[in-house]
Amino acid sequence: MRNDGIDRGLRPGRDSLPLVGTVGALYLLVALGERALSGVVSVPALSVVDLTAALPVPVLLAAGPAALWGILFGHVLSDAATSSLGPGTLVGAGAHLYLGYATCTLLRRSDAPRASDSAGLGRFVLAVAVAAAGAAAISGWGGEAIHRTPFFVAAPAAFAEFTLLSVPFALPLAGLFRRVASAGASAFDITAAPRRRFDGHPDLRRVTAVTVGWVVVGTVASVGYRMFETVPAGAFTSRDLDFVLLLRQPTLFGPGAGRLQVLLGAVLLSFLVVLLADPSDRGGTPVR
Amino acid sequence: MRLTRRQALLGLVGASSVGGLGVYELLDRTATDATISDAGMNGLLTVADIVHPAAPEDVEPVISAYVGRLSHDRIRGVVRALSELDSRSRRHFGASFGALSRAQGERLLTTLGVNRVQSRPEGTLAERVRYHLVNAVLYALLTRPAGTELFGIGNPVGFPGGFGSHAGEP
Repeated sequence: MRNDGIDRGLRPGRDSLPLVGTVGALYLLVALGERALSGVVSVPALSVVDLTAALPVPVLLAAGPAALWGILFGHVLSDAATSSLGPGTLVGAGAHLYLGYATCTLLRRSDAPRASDSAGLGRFVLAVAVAAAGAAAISGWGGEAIHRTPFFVAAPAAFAEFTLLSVPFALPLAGLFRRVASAGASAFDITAAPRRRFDGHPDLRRVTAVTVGWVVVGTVASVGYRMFETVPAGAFTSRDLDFVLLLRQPTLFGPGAGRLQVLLGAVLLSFLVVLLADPSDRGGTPVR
Repeated sequence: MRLTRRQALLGLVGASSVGGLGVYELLDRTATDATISDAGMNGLLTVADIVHPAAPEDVEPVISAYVGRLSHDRIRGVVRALSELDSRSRRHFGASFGALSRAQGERLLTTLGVNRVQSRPEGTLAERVRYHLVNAVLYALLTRPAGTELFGIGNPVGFPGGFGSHAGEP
């Protein structure tokens, strides 16, 4: 793996413990605040929106890669405090880790975010949106794996949640308070000038292609197979399409083709991780 | 040893596939009790409050009687769906599903996608909630006069009240 800048920052040291604790406490505070707010304020959508989705990107931009451990710790802590610790904790933590890591890595592959520069702003929003789509796909994949929600329900909602909460909270950090942001961003080499000129950000394109492909294929398969299961066999036999019915194997594929979704997600998630952690040579080499 | 990109990819695909399918199969076989607690009964009443306009005091005896006639397998399905709903409910509202208001419960079910999925005894939580809770409660209520009189039907299909309605005054 060649992403050594991030790799170095990922190794937990004794000096990163306060940071991990602070991020964990921040997660706990937001989770408990969200719960308290849901009992007092009756905004229709507020009670079911996970406000901690606003944290990964700003926290990683501000604090650097060591905050990844804080995100994991914070997730476990907030779920334990709200008596909802379970397999869903891993799924949520995985989606948040991916959202923060992918955003920072994609920004590192392009240029420093600048609030005054509209192109920089656009790239920043695009990086967050692509990372949010990947995190949403992980949520949908996890939802199928732990038998909670079908992919077509979980992924679009998670994408909206991650994008709408991340951009407004991360933008001020990246733009208005650049000095604060640069402290963490420099750990990702975001602000460092690339040694070689980028060739049209090929990694962002590949990551975008795999991410969008995952969301689209996952959603279509999730809806399609569930509909396919309910269509009467006569609709196929009357049109000499009996062979299509061979695909109707809920005992093999799982209800709603859950097993296929899990396998599809495993393959595409691996592709995304490799693309992010081990970018191709064409993407340019960051200065160390 | 430095891994090549292909080795890393193959390793990740293998590990995530085995891990994902392992979790999928493990959670598919999770065993639950076959008794419905008071909290579980409250959960069913919350579902009834969401999906049916009848007053809670009319609904409770109907639901209790219906649940009492369910098989062990069906009750396991109900208990499992309710316990998973409780977990989601505690995360967002700090209370079990049975303690939620109608609006909160409706919001939680909508978030899970219960209004967008097919009913299914096995599958995701949303599908199981639709089968074991929503459809079961609707069936119990719509086959009893307590649940249908609001709609002007005193002798619903499936209710053995034929003799009474024929023998009584029109």
